[in-house]
Amino acid sequence: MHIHRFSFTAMASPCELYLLGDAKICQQAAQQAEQEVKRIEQKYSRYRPDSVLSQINQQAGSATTIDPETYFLLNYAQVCFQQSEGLFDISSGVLRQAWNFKQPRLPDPSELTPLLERIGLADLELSENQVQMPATMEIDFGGIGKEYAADRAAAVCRQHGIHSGIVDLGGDLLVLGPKPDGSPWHLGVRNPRPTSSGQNLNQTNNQAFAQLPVYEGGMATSGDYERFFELQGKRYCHLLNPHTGLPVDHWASVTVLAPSCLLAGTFSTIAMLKQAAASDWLKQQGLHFLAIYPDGSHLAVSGSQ
Amino acid sequence: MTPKSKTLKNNALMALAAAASLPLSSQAEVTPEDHIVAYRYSQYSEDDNPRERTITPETGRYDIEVHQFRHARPLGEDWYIDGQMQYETLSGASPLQTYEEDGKSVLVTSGATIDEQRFDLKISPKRYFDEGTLGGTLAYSTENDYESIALGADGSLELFDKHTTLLASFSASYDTLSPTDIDEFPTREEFDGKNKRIVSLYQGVSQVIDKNRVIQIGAGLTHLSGYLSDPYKTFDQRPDERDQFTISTLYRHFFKVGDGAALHADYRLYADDWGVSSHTITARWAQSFNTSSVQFLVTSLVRYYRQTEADFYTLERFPAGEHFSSDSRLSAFGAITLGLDSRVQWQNWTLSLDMQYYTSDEDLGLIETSDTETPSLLTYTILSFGTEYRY
Repeated sequence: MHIHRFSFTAMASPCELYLLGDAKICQQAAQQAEQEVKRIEQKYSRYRPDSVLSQINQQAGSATTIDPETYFLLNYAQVCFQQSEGLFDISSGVLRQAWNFKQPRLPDPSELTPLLERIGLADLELSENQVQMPATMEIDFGGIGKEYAADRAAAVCRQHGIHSGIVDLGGDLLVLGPKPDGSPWHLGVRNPRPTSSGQNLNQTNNQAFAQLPVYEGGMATSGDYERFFELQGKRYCHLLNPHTGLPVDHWASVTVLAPSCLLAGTFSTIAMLKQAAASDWLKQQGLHFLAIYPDGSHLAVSGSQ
Repeated sequence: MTPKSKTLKNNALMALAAAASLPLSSQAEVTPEDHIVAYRYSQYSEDDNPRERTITPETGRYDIEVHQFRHARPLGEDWYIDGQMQYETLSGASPLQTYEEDGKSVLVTSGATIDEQRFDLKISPKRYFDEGTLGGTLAYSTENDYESIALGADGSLELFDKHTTLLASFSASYDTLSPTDIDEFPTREEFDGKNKRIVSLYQGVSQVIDKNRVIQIGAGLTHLSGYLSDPYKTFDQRPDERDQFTISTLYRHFFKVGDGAALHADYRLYADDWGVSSHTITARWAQSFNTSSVQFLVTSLVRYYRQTEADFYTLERFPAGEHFSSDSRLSAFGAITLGLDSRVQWQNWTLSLDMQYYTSDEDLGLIETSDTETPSLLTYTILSFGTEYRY
């Protein structure tokens, strides 16, 4: 069996599929997987006014009828909110209005306070057929959508009988199954502080911090290097605490392995938001993870899961 | 940290994993996309008859070797077609009559005269819709003294968020006899060209109770008509119609034991207008074990069966009356089946090794045991080896 590589761009990220099997079947699977990712992108994009997500936001204050898939994602987001004690909140995107990472400027508390009042997924009312949220609330599926799409793309490949390979949606990874000889894939964890240059993080310059062996399942990383600025020697990143409106700073990145990419993604994001409490919390869940401190030291734990 | 919040934290993975598994309602039955090529070899062998009961020194019974070939594949977007071919070689002896003499039963067998082949072909296309399936079956079977053509249709309809599935099937077959060795047994000539017709109807409903439990209940009616006696038995004259009725329940319960397990508990009630009624209870435990590259599935089976005898079952040496038969399958008896199936899956390959042991005895009927002996009741073992390739 040969390894077949397919590339496309979706969700503003480079996406790659590495599939093992018959060339024709892999080609078909890759095509359908790409379609599936793009379907999810269109359906839940916050940049498209006609997306399901935009409709929910436009109709905030009154009820919107939803389909089972949207219910599934919203219900999942609610469980994330509850399990993270409110840290993982899909209504916290409004904070982007105060934080513009293109300029090194700290927002004034008077800018943050009205935005913080609009956040709080506890006020979202969800039933299997409809969702209703306060008129001022705005949600997005950042931290869920791409991870969910990776799982769905993997499901498409599995439906084609492909059980060995990798789905990579911009660093959100799902391993379909081990290599044909039964050995694991080695997945690189990006170095959050590349040595050659501090700020200029282009694609060719992302050396791996470590290679993690993965037989099957999801691997996702949440890090402070995706969008950030530095001011007076301190880094301010895009991961914001929805209670304070301020960036987290305890970890440079957290990588989590979990049965699905969706789980790995939410656990890594919640871990970043939990700051120092994250390592004990992840250990309690029995998950494999690699947490890297801003100074480059790290904590690697092999869980029971 | 309060005890409550500690519990919550420990359960975060479970809570999120539960929320991340798509609800059953969104999992529609989709057209399978695998191409399958499979071969299976089975060896069926019956234990010898008890020598003290046989009138001739021949105590051996049937041995059957079965070769099965299967190919299944999708056809277009919504169709899936499944084809099976089977070739069997049978050899051995079969009971001609059992009768009672001086309070002791005597078994007359055919001697090892039987040596024949059988060929089966079955094709089942199925169309998948958003809310259900519609399938058909065409089957043809031939051996040197028998020919059968069967047609079937089946359908399923998913309701209430796909938690409930209605199932229905219909089948009809037409069999023609052409007995062998007419020179040796001239009485068989009158059966030449006789036929048997079977029409069957099944209706059932399958209900998802929760994500770990499914139950299915169904009822079936079968009407047989034509020549229903066994031309190879002496003194075998059965009615030319038979109505059969079944009620069955199937229960599946999935457990998180090892890498996943399931309990199957099935019960079937059967009754016909020949006076035979039966109960079948089957329990299976399917257990899977996974390593990084290989998946194992081991299924153990225990089945208990008991039936009452047909109104015209008799062990008279020279039976009189309108209908009579000494076929052990129409006597009162009980049976136990033990089975062990194992599957190993590695990449696209699946290997299977299955064993089954069946024994039947008049004393296993437990209650309402008849006072007649049935020395021709069967004990057999089946060993199968199979290999399958999916792509």
